[in-house]
Amino acid sequence: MNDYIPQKVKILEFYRESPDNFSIVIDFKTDHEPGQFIQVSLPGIGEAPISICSYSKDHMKLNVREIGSVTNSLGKLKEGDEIWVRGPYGKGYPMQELKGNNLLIIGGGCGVAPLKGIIDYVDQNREDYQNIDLFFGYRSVHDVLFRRETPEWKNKYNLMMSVDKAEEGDDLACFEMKTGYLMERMKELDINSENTVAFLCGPPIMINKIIGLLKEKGFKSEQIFLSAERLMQCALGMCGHCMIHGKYTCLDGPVFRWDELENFKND
Amino acid sequence: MVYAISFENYNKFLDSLIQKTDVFAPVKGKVSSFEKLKSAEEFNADVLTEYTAKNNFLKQGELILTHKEGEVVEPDLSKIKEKILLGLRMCDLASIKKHDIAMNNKYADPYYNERRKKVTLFGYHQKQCGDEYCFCQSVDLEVEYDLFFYKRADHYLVEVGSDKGKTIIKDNQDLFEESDYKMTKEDKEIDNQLKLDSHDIDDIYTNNRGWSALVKDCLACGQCNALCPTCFCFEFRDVPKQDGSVEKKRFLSECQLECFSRVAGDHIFRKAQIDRFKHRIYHQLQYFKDKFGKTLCTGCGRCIRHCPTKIDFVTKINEMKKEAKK
Ligand SMILES: Cc1cc2nc3c(=O)[nH]c(=O)nc-3n(C[C@H](O)[C@H](O)[C@H](O)COP(=O)(O)OP(=O)(O)OC[C@H]3O[C@@H](n4cnc5c(N)ncnc54)[C@H](O)[C@@H]3O)c2cc1C
Ligand code: SF4
Ligand code: SF4
Ligand code: FES
Repeated sequence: MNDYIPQKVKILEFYRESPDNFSIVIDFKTDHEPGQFIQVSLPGIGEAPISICSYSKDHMKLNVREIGSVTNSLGKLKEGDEIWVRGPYGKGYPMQELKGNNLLIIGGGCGVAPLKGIIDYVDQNREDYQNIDLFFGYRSVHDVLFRRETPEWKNKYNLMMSVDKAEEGDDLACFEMKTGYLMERMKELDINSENTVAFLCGPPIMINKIIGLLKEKGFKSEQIFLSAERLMQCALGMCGHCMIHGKYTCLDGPVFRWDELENFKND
Repeated sequence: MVYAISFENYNKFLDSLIQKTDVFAPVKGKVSSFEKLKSAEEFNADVLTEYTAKNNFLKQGELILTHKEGEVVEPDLSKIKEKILLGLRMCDLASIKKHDIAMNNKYADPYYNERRKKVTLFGYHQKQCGDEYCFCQSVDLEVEYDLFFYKRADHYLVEVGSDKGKTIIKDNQDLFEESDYKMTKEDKEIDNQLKLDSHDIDDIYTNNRGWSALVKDCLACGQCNALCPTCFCFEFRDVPKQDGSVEKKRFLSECQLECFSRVAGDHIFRKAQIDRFKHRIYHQLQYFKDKFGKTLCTGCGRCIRHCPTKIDFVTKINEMKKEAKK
């Protein structure tokens, strides 16, 4: 068995979410946990870890921010094109263990992608969880992701979205978006830590600030789960690049409970 | 059961091996690496090489797969040739055992495992092994070998460590003699001048003053990674070929360089050299042990001996540990 060998899959659907972000649906059928990721590659360009942002046995959805060589090249593809994938890898969110809790799902920018996998999972297992809050922050209205799914989320859950900056003419009304950093907007809310767990994913600066806020609101580190990002090469627990203080992000993560990481931010 | 082989027969033994198989060993006139041996005469038993033998298992530029005409082609690993590594010191032998563990963590690495399977290991014991930088007696040295040679006044004593080793002796039985000598603890001793008092270094992780003093001379050149027998971290590169195919190849990578933890958007997780240096030392002494029960480091001293500024982390760790006890 050679786990480095990827398989070829077809892009079933390709659509743009924002000027530098797109979603694709691929013909990849595999069992997985919410929060896991796959390795996506293009010959001659390279391989990149991308979170699974759906929860389905029939197909898989990915959401990608164009930021470097692999992601930019993926962004030039279209329906019917083929990409290479291997996985799924990593440890996701412990959804079974957390049954019966309120879920506070907080994402920034492209960090919303893995969280969308959670929302899809919760949709299919709604009776297992109590209140669901979704707090998402984006740079501007042009960066808002998952516009297709948002109306449904708004109906079913307590959704709050904010954009860092708004300009004249921006349409904030449709999703009742607020302006200002997500963390500032969250300060104003009545957030109760009792019987609640928080799922976080987003840029490190935002994550650190929001964790600070959650702590102020009475959350313990054990109630906070986040999806960590590190350079990855193998995704198989060998190459060593993804290590955080001895833990392999690709095997022991990418989802960690905050008490596993809090002392090792530069590590 | 140990065997004995006279120096004369030993040379005959090597020459006959060289006829049949590629034998790699430290050679006379070249102190830096394991080279292909042309005759028994060339073998230089007295040197701890500058480079280790790790390239024989973790081959630089290992072909992982080829993208050709829309398909992925796996390389034919059965083509990898059998070879013998001769003259492996305890530290280098132990490092192979560490890689056996690291490359078979949750998943198994077929490239490493195939090369490993095809290598026969001959250990070589020397009491006065290295120099003032060796501290192998302070770390975990667990070894696997096929044959292990101990030098005596006019012969070698040979321990057999595997069925493969047994077969080799059997195939050359006219050169080896059975011996009723009982190996003692003293026979296996190795003298070290340097000692690491403890490799449990969790308690000095936050000693910023101590680590900073150690790292201030570090050039972030990555030599320590390249020469270390146990450093095994790696990366992939896609190499386009003229015929339109693309080869994915594997290279070892250096955690002392910034790019080791650089992600898209130019974020570098271990930006400060102190964090990179600590990462290397903690992986070697603490993380690997936390995960697999043994230090990764085998105490060969190469990362101090060949460091351009001779950064001696062993002595400094001893100091920090003393400080922590107070
Ligand atoms: C567990 C995990 C899940 C992720 N999920 C998503 C997602 O759903 N959507 C998304 O857009 N992005 C995601 N990322 C980030 C994404 O992997 C990087 O943006 C991507 O690797 C950049 O590759 P590039 O070739 O375009 O960039 P370049 O800067 O050209 O990077 C070169 C190579 O370095 C490696 N690399 C660079 N950045 C990262 C990084 N952040 N993490 C790991 N390896 C990196 C990759 O091998 C990449 O091919 C995730 C990262 C991790 C670790
Ligand atoms: S060899 Fe020495 S100077 Fe170079 S990175 Fe290693 S510790 Fe630093
Ligand atoms: S860390 Fe240094 S002493 Fe330890 S095995 Fe590597 S090179 Fe040798
Ligand atoms: S990505 Fe290689 S060890 Fe995690």
